[in-house]
Amino acid sequence: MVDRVLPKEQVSAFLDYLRRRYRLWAPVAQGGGFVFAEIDHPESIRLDYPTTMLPPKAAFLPPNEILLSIDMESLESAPPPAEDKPIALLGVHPCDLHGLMRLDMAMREEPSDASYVSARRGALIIGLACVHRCRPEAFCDSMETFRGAAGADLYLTPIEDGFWVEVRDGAEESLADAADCFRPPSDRQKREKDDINRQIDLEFSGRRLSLETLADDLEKTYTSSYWAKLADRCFSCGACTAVCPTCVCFDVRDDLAGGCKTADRCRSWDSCLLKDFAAVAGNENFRPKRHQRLRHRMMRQGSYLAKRFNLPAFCVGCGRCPAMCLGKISPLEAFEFSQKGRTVHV
Amino acid sequence: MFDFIPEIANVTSVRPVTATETLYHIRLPNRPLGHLPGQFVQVSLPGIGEAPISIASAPGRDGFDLCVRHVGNVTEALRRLRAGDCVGIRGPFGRGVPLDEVMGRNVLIIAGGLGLAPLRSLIQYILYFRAKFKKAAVLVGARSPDALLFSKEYKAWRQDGDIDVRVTVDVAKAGWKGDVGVITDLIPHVPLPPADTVSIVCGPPVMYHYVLRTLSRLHQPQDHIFLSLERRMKCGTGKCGHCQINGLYVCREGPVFRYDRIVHVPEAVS
Repeated sequence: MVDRVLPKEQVSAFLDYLRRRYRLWAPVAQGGGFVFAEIDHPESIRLDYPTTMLPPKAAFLPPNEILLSIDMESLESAPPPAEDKPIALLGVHPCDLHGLMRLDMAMREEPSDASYVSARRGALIIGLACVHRCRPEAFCDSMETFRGAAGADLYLTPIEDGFWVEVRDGAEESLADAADCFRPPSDRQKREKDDINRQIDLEFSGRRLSLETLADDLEKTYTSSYWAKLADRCFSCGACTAVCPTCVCFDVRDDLAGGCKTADRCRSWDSCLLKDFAAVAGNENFRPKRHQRLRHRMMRQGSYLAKRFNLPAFCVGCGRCPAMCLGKISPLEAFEFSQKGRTVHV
Repeated sequence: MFDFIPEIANVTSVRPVTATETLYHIRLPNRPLGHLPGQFVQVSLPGIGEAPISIASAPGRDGFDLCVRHVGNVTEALRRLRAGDCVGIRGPFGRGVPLDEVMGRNVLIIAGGLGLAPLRSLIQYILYFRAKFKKAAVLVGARSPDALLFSKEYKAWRQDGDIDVRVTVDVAKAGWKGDVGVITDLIPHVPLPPADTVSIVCGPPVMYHYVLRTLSRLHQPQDHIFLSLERRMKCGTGKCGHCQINGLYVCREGPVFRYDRIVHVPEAVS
């Protein structure tokens, strides 16, 4: 890890560098909120954003994509041409950095997903420290995902003079041509950054789950009537999975295109909350009831995938799903239910 | 690395099995499929889609059989296939029957309805390597005599393979001389010692509970029972989530599971 400072007056030069070398994605204001979008005009970038409606997942796993096209005459398949430049994701908050790491684990688990690997290849992830809570629904404090540079190639902390930049070992190379933008940090700047980190710890002090036991605790609630009660508030709409940084379930379908000359194999996000998700031909549905589907998602987030990838939890506590949910269902309430009476306040 | 590109395979024969099922023989152009009994492939028609279909023949160099029930979008479209046509194939996927745990023992195969399709792969394998197995029995259950799969092959299984084949139907019709009733009624009549017998079960979801209860009453150890489970396998690589049973992906960790490993997995068999 190397520490640098990106002075305010160098920010626009750095953005120019990023745009030359990468397809730059960053948060912008849109529709009364914020979204990660590909940047045409750097002045539209809003690094002061609280959180985005959708996580940065879409940069590497788009809501809809064509995996391959099959020529209907020759029956030969070809993937779509690769993009000429890799993606740089700028301004990713810690919860979403944790989300991207989990997305990587799921999509790169052998055999790794070719389309994802291709979109992710050479990407530069630039994290941005969260100094304030973004919304009341967020529970990154409980999930302990509110801090840290893990998963980022560069990690920015806003300071008075600009940004403190932690450069991951091995990432200096991708900055070689932008070296002029950075300065060695001064002692004063170091003290300021340390102060900010202490403020962050204070800001996000609060509830903590017992993360070491969460996966097992949650599975013990499997037969509880709690899930049916919770499902009274669930509309099975799938909004929670659509806004989730770690939900990776998808559907694959074949569509005719180009005047029926080609068949496109298309992938789109899917949701385990939707009624037909586990249905098979012949009218069999392996999760026909709403509470079964809601419980399945919570278990995936709190237990199944956590165990699979040896993590405390797959959920990162970003707070998007409770904010989006019509019934205000939060994974936190399910997680806390499973650890009733054992929530720790710090 | 995994992409979704299908291999274009040739359909070399098409044989109706019942009014709703058809048997396709398929050859890949450049390689044998290289599967184990119990594994499945994704079959596709360009522009229509993919469907997971279990392989109904023993491993071999001369292509493979798929027994398709025409009940979904893709499987309905497969009705149009004729010998000489092409289909897309991905796979084989999943874990099949672990033959080393079955060989050297008695084998009890319990197949309900379309469940006989994947188990036919194992039956053929037993026929090819008969000496490697002790006694073998196949129990077949179907809704009606018309719905029985591969009924013309039972004679060869009995005579060439010395396999005890017993058949029952839910509803008989005129001329039916066999058993009538549920498949669990047949199990106690098979004279195989539970401790030295491996049972392999595949059938409609409702069947597992009753078959497992019967096998348990006969004191068959749970690690001697293998279940082939159906789910909606889509990607085949444990990513899309459709086939997930609690924390397990059927397309990777299954579709054939040893019972002691899923007995505490609540969604597996109920």
